Amino acid sequence: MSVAGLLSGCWTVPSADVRPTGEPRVIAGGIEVVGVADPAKVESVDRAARILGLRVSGVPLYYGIAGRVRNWSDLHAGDAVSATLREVLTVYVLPRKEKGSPPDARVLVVDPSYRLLKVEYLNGGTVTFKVALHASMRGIAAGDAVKIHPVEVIALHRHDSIAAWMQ
Amino acid sequence: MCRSFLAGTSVRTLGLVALPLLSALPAPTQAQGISPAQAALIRNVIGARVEAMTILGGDFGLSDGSFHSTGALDGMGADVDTSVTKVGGDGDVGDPMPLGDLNIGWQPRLQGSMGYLESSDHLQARPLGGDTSELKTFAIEFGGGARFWTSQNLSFAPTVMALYGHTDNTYFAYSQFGRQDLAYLQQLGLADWSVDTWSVRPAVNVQYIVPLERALITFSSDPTGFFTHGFNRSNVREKVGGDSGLVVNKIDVDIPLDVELYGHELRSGGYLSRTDLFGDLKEGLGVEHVNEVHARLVLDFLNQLWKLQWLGVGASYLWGTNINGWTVGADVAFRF
Repeated sequence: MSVAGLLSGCWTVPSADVRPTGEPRVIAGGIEVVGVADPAKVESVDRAARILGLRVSGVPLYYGIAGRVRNWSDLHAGDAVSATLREVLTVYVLPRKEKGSPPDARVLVVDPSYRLLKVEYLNGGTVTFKVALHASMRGIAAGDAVKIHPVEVIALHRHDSIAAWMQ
Repeated sequence: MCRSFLAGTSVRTLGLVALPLLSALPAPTQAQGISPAQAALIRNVIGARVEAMTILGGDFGLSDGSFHSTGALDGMGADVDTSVTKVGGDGDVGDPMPLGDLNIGWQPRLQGSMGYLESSDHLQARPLGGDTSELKTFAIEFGGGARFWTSQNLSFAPTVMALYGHTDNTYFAYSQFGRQDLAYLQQLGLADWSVDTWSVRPAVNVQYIVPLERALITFSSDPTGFFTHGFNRSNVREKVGGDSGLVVNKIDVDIPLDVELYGHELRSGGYLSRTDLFGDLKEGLGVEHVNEVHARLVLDFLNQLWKLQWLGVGASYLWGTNINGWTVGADVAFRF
């Protein structure tokens, strides 16, 4: 390959708007992932049911609170937090004429080596998930539709406490 | 990606050029009998060594550790111990961004390092046998550039850094000859001197990544130049400054092991590299090239703990011109 050819450039910016190839199908379901939502805004706190409502990249989602999370009892609606979230994804190819509910996000970048899946929400926000070790990422590509099923919050940091710690 | 290799225990054999030249001079020409040409030759050697020690002590491209040499220069008697403690690394910041309308991605790149070096030459050949010449060098460098991606696999990273170093020499005269002529050696700028240096360090990193299933194979080449000038000399006769260079060619393999430990995947891998030295760096260390085979076992923390990519242990074996040895230490990588 000539130097001129190397330097001419064939790099492409990652895009979630790529049209997936193949027939509509579920590529992979039940993909356990962990992601960090930072910042996320507390929408509601159900102390009896240990359910936390968070707005992540503009999307309201409801999570259980894992037993090991201790610092949630004084949370209130409107608080800004950094939340580590356990979620389950379904990745699929939508029919060309989209029917039913739209996907929660689309795949932006796939890194099978480090088991990273970066997705783009419909409002343009992005999040990078760490995929569980034995979950298959085979066949997942940029542009695939993603349905996100919230499971639980496994770590939580209030932004004011982070700021206090940094001071 | 930003990588930092912190050496723990290591023993290396390294050919070092220095004041042992004094002991190679015929006895009648020693000290007060040293001709201006001979003194200039020794100063050149000292200058090259200061430059080499500053690069070895402060540049992030050369690893730290403990070195041992037994006089590789024409059989001149010297027993040299050198220890380098260093912290630093290099890293590309963020994800690649499009460069205008070109199909080229780019991301800023930062590089930095700081180190401290101590080197003791225990002279063995008469008439200076028993004397010790000690160098202490502090060096710090910082700089950056950009990485340009011309495809998803191929990238170029031109960078420029500035390297500052301060070196002190202390000469311990135990031999009769040394004690007698120490003042004259000091006057000539051959003993008990200090000097500051600054260097400009242009470099280009060329990197090609080949994904193989989940493994990553990275081919890289790093041609690097050092253009050094001395200042703040304690003796006006000192001559420090010149040109050095090195080229590192490396193959790195990064293999996920599909085994989890404490919630983090184990990864194995390592690299095979050859470093060719040029100019004063080659002359000052007495080393033409160094080969290194490195193995590591690390835990994957990427996207799990701040910007940490992996944390584990690594070990290297080195061999080359006048050098062999090994090093073991923590292996840490960051991705910003």
